[in-house]
Amino acid sequence: MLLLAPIVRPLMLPSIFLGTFVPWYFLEMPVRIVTNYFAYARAFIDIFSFTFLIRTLFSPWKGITDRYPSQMLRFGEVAQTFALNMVSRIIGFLFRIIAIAIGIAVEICLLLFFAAFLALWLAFPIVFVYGSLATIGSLTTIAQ
Amino acid sequence: MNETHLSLTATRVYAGVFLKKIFFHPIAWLIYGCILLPFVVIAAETGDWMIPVFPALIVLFPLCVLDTFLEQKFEDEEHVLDDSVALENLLAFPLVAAVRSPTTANVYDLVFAAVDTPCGVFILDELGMERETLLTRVRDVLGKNGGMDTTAFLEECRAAMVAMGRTRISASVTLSVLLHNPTFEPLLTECDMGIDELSAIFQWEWFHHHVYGKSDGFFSPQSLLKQFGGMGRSWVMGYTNELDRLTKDLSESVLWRPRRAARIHGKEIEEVIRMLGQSSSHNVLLLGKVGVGKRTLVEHFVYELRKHEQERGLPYTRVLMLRTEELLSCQDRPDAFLLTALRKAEEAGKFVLVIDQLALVLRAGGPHLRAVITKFLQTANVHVLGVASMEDYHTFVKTDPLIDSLLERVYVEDSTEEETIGVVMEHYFRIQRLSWGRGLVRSVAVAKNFLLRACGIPVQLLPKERVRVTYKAIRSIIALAQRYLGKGGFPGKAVNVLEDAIYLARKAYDPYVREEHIREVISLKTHINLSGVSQDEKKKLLGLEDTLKQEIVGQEQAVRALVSALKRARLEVNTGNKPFGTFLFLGPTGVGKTHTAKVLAREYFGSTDALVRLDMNEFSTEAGVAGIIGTTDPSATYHEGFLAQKVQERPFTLVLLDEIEKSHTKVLHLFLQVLDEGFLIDSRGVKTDFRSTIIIATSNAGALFLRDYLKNKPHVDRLELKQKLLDAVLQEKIYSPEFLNRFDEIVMYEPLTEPQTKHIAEMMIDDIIGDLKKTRGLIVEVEPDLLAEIADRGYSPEFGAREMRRVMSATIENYIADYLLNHDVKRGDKIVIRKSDIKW
Repeated sequence: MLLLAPIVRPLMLPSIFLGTFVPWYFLEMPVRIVTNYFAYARAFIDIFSFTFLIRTLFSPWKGITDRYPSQMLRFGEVAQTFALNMVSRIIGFLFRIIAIAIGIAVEICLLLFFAAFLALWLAFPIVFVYGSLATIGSLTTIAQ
Repeated sequence: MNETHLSLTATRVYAGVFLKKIFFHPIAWLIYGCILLPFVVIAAETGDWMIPVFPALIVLFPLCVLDTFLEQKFEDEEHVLDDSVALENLLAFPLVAAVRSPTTANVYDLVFAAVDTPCGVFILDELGMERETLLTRVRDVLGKNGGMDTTAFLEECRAAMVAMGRTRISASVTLSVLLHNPTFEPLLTECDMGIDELSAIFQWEWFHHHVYGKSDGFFSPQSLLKQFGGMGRSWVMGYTNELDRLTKDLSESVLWRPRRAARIHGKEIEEVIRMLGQSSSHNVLLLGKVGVGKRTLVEHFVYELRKHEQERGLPYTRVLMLRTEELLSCQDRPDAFLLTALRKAEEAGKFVLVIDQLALVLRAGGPHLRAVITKFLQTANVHVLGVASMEDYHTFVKTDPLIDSLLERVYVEDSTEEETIGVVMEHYFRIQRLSWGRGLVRSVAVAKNFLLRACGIPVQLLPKERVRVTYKAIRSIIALAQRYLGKGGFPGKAVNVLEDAIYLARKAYDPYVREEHIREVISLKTHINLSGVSQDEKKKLLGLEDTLKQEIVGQEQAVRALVSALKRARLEVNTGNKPFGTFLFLGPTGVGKTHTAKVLAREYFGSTDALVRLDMNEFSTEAGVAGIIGTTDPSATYHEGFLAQKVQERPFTLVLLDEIEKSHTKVLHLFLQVLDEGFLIDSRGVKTDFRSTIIIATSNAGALFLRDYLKNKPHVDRLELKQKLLDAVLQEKIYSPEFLNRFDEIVMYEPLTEPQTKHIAEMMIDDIIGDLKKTRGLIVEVEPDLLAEIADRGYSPEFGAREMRRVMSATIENYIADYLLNHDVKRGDKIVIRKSDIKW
């Protein structure tokens, strides 16, 4: 491949490595990783609609309610209506609380994932050197 | 020699290109594969597939890092560089990557590289120029001028880059500088392109790159949000099973679907949102011509509404489109079904009901369904968004004052030219992407064609191969649709023409949509011949004046004026926003005014059926207005106007308004608009386009003045006579000055002279003789004395030559009929008719 492309000036690549790559790798990209984490976190907050779910935590499920009879003295019907409405709210609460729990779990997983990725990113140069030596060693062993 | 060379190897951009070529070359991938192969072999032998994972990570992760680094630091054109950066460092990554000889690059090398980039390909497609053509011409021009100073060229590129608002000297900047250079002006002329149009193409390239070149990744936060939406927002809404059967939920997946890039009717969308948000009058009716984008406006409204609710954490409003045909055809009692469905939906929560064919519902649904619609127009929880055309609104909605008062009208006008270009371009990009097709079969076919072409073997286009539409073609579509397609609105009619033109180009195996395809499409739609003038047609037009003079005796000025109008129309010379020609023929009765129109219809339009004749006697009362523009009384059943209907059916037509002075003043006023602007708006607000018509109005006004003036005056000055005639007509207040002023030409028809009358008689006799010869093979001769007598009897100053036909029947035709009865006549026999044979 080297023969296919005219070679750059000798000092260009080291200057790019030290002057551009290293600051990019150790400063710019970690900031970008953190920014991306916050973007995903915000997106999942919107997907799971936490604020909306909390606001409507006890709202009836799918608006299923019954109207109370106009004459409140009919206790049987009042009790019946109260029971139906209560069940509807409990179902709504269950669905919403489960959705909130799943959302929180997803956010925690997201945080852990990005934290691990950031740690790997920063530690990778060391891992790369060690891994390269190990790979070369393995290849040598295999060749023998 | 002006040529200088540049070395790109010293630039940072080239370093990035170098790294990309080294580490991502196919040979490099082979090496990576060779490194990982032993580990894969061991894993296969031992069954432990975790063995190659770590080495793969060691190999692949740095490559991903390098790729990301190169993309962000070298390929990203949005990254603004320092002003002090050297010229070569301003070159864009794709351009430098495509340069063949980076050590000694000259202007030709830069152009060669530019046309190989996707941006360059796009620009050449829009110009309608082949890559090889451009490169050959550039090579020739540079060779003639001894090359070009590369540094000076790059300086121009830097200035153009700043002027175009770009941050890199990309392929589009390079080509822009090249084509703006006066040395390369002949290239533009070959493409029939002006500088403004060229600049517009570069703007469109930028638009295309930003809309289609960059898209959110599948797992980006924006895409995830679009796909999963907001959980739980619809859990506060109730079930609407009945209504769901009759409707389609437009809001369900609106955020997931890709949005149209060219957005029009922004103000109308905001108005709809504002109106639907009001507590009172919260129903909207969208009015506009077919094709203006009412349905697209509804889609955009749904998107904006859902996005607004998502951003503010509000419960979602469902936007449901009523399936009108299913409601009317599948239900025994559509009104009862809709009433139940809407009642339950009303309890379930807030929603917007879109009635796409409101006129159909009101027309076919009956009074009960009307009552249901009226009820829910007044319901707080239900918002109705109706869609209708202007004619349907006037016919079915306006006639019901209660429904009309409950709907706020939003008028959707035609999009502007720039907006229409945007929509048409976007539609073209979408067709391109779809037409590439998918799959192995297509790839094999394309590869086969490529090989055949490389071997110099001509191939036909694959049926669905990409047909390119240049920028010029798009402008031509819009200009011709604007001029000749009166029906329908923009951008719809331009999009229809585009699709048909692409189909015709594919059928003709033409890689480009050309103006002739567009003209053919519009000719088919309008029955107007818009194709190039053929040799036969040229001959016909040039000889038309002589042809007409043979049939129309003595009225040369009229013939000349009519033929000139036809020539201008056919060659599209100065065809503005008026009919092709408007003429008023003034003169006594029986001198050939109506005959002129009939002969013209037969000779040029092919048949007298192409003539739309209105006897203005029938429009002598105010009720005659309805005959022109349709029923004006809203309580009566609507009937379309005869004239509007005929011109809509056949836009290129000859309209004859016979004896126009007999029509009512209000009817005359209708024609003021037609003569001046080429449009007639009927009682339903529908515009009929008269710009492709020729209008002839005949009038006997001033006939008596002419008769008296010409008595005992053998020689008169025509111009003076005409002016006096017009003065007399105006004095008698037969026409107003503004009416007369609107005609392109007022032609005076003079009374016929004796020789002219004789000539007319001769022509009529020749017709009879010719007909007898053709049908029965008889030779008929008429004595000159008899001819003179017939001419004398057939003409009178009061009735002109109108009596000639009656005299001919009473003499010649009756004699021949008697002769055939009394004699045994065979083919080839000769009949001589003398004056003495006729019983007067």
